[in-house]
Amino acid sequence: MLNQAFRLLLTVNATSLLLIVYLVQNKHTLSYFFSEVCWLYKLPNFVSYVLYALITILLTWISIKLSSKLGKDEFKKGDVDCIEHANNSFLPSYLGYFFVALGINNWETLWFVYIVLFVFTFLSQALYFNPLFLVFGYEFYNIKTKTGAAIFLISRNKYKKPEDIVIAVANRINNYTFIEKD
Amino acid sequence: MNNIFAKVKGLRKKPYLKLLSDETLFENVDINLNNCVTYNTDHNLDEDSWFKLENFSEQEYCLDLLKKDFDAKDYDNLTKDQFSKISFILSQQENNFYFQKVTPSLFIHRKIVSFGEVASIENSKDRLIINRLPDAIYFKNTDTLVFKNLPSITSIFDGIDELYKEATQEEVVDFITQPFITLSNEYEAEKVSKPNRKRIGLAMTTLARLTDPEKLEMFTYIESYCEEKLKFDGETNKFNISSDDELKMLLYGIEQRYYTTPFGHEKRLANSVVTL
Repeated sequence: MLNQAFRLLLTVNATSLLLIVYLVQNKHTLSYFFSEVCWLYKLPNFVSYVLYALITILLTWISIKLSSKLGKDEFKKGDVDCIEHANNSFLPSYLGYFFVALGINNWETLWFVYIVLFVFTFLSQALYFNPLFLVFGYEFYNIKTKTGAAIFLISRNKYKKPEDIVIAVANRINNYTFIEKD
Repeated sequence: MNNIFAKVKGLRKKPYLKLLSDETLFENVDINLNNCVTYNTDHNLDEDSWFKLENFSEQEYCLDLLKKDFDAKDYDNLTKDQFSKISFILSQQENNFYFQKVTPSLFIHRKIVSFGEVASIENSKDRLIINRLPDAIYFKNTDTLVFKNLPSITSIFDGIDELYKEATQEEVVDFITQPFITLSNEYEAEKVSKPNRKRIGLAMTTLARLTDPEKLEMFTYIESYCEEKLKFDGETNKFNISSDDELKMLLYGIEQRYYTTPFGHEKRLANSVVTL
C-alpha cells in the first residue's frame, strides 16, 4: 500500500515540471486561480512561479524522507562489478517535457498530455527521473552486480570505483532502483 | 542484513521473491553439527537432535539458490496477491538459511479477539503462522543441511525423498524367498508394510556383508532373543514368518538391535541406534 502511494508521489514529482512550464508560459499566476483574493494581484508574477517550484521541491523532499520506510537492502564489499555515472543520461528526456509543455496552449490539451505522461511514467521504471534529486545533492549511478543484475542507484556519495560501494542500508524504490539515504 | 524470502507456486521463471527486509524470522538455533545424526531412514530422532546431510550443495536435490553466491538485490518484491501462493519461506540469517514449509493450515482466516485496553475483534486478515523451529537449516560455511523430518521437506527440496531407502517389490520378494525364511498363514510380499519395506532395504545391505558361518551365528542370536515371538527351526535353519510383526522381529535381529545390559542383564531392543 505504502509502496503504491510512494510511487504515485514520485510520479507527481517527476512529471510536475510539465505543469510548471505550462503555468509559467501562459502567465497563470496565483491570482488566476484565486481571483477573489485582491492582494494577490499586487504581487509580481515571479512570486507565484517561485511558489510553484517550492511546492515540487517540498514534495521531492517528502518523498526522500518517506523512502526510508521502504524495504531495505545491503551492498556488501565486492557486490558491485561495474559502475557508471548517470547524472546526464536523463536530461534529454527532461528537455522533452519542456518542449511539450511550451507547445500546449489550453487546459484540455494539458490534461490529456499530462495524464498520458503520468500513466506511462507510473508504469515504467522511470519514476526517479526527477532532476530535483540533484538539487538535494543526489547522484545517479548505473550499477552491475557480480551476479549480473543491472541496478539503478541514487546516492549522495560520489562513487567512482565499484569497490567504493559499501552500503549498510539502501532502500528499494522498485526492484531495479535503490536509494541510499546519507 | 537478514532478509526473508518466499517461494511462490506457479512462477516458473522467478519463483523466489523477497518478503521482508532487515528482519529475522527464527531465533538462531544452536546446533553442534558433530552431534547431528547422518540421515538414516530407520533412526528415531531424539527430541533435541537433528538429522544432517553433509556436502549438501553437491546433491542433485539442493536448490540452485544455495549453490550460487546469494545476493538479496537479485530478488523482486512479493506482491500481496501472491501471498496465498507461498509454498515455503526462506529466512536468510547471516550465512545460514532457515526453511519453513507453508501449508494451507498455517494461514489464519479467522476472527481474532485481541486484548488491548479493552478486548476487540480483529477481522480475518491473511496471517501466516511461523513455527518455533524451522523445518530445515542450511549452514553455508559447512555446506550442511539439518532437519528433523524428511517428509516435511520433500516439497522444498525436490527429489530428496530418494533418501528413503524403501525396498522395491522385487527386493521384498528377493528377501522373503531367502533360504532362511519360510512363509505361512498366507503371508506374502504384497502384505509387507511400508516401515518393513524400509527396513528390508537396510537389512539386505547388512546381509550382503555376512559370511555363511556368520549368518548361522546370527540365527542363534536372534532366536535367543525372540524365542516366544518368532518360530525358528534349528534343524532346517528357517524362520517361520506368518505376520508383519514377526517379519519386523527378524529384521531387527538382522540389524542386531537386540542387546543385554551389562549390569542387571536385562534384555532390550534398541528402536534406534547411533554409531559411537
